[in-house]
Amino acid sequence: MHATFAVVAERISITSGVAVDRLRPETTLKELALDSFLLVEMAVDLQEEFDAIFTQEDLHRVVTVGDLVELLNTSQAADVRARSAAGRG
Amino acid sequence: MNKTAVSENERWLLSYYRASEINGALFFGRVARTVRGPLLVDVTHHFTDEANHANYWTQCLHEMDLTPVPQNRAYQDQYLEAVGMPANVMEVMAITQVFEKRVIGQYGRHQRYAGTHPLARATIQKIMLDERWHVKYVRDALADMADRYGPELIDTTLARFTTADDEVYAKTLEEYGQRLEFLGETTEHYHGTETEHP
Repeated sequence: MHATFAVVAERISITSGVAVDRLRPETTLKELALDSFLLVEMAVDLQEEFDAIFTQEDLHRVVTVGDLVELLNTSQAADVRARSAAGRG
Repeated sequence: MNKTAVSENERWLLSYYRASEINGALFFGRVARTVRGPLLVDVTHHFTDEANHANYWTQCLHEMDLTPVPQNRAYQDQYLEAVGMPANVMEVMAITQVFEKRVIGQYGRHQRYAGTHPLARATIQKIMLDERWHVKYVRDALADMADRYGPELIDTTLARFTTADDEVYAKTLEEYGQRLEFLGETTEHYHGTETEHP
């Protein structure tokens, strides 16, 4: 499932309680002031919603909401499995 | 009020258990809000178990006419510092698998200690029933995830978390060793003769 900024922002807003109109692609996760547990909750929610798989390394590279949208579109579960099976994941 | 004597170290340890169960409830509450599919039922059940266990320990201390010793950090805090926050549902389940085995090992040692307060022993017995179910449902969940994540990644993740758990537990013993000595729990014991690795 392709992730668009609008849909991802909606999901983040539901999970975090941050108003959707405060979210821009360049908004940093730090600005959202999410605690660690809430970050896990948000990451799990997005992966479940978009059938994606994140790794800790992926999440360390995410700075902005836009990065998160891009990660969702490059971490589809089927692709991650294929890379893992090929020993490159 | 129960008049059987409770050592200060046992009071501290029961308070530590209580703090860990509260942290577990807070963590699983978050996971239960977002997880989908068949796991939703089990994870929500797990969340309520952790909250109930915190209540059991609070009640246990209350019946001993004691209040919990304030705790700054629970075992999970050190654990997550060591391994990092889980990045996906499989990692949540893998961390839980390793952690729950550790919990069963610790509660089992406390239960076997001859001087354990009867109320603490009864509380552990009640909690252990739930803990065994936790290990079982998490093991089943990880097996079910093999198609999605691949068995190799699951095995690697479990191995990584098990190594981290060993390190955190050894560090915990170093930090709180005096508190646990009454159970016969020492760093030397852990590194030397420990055979009941969870």
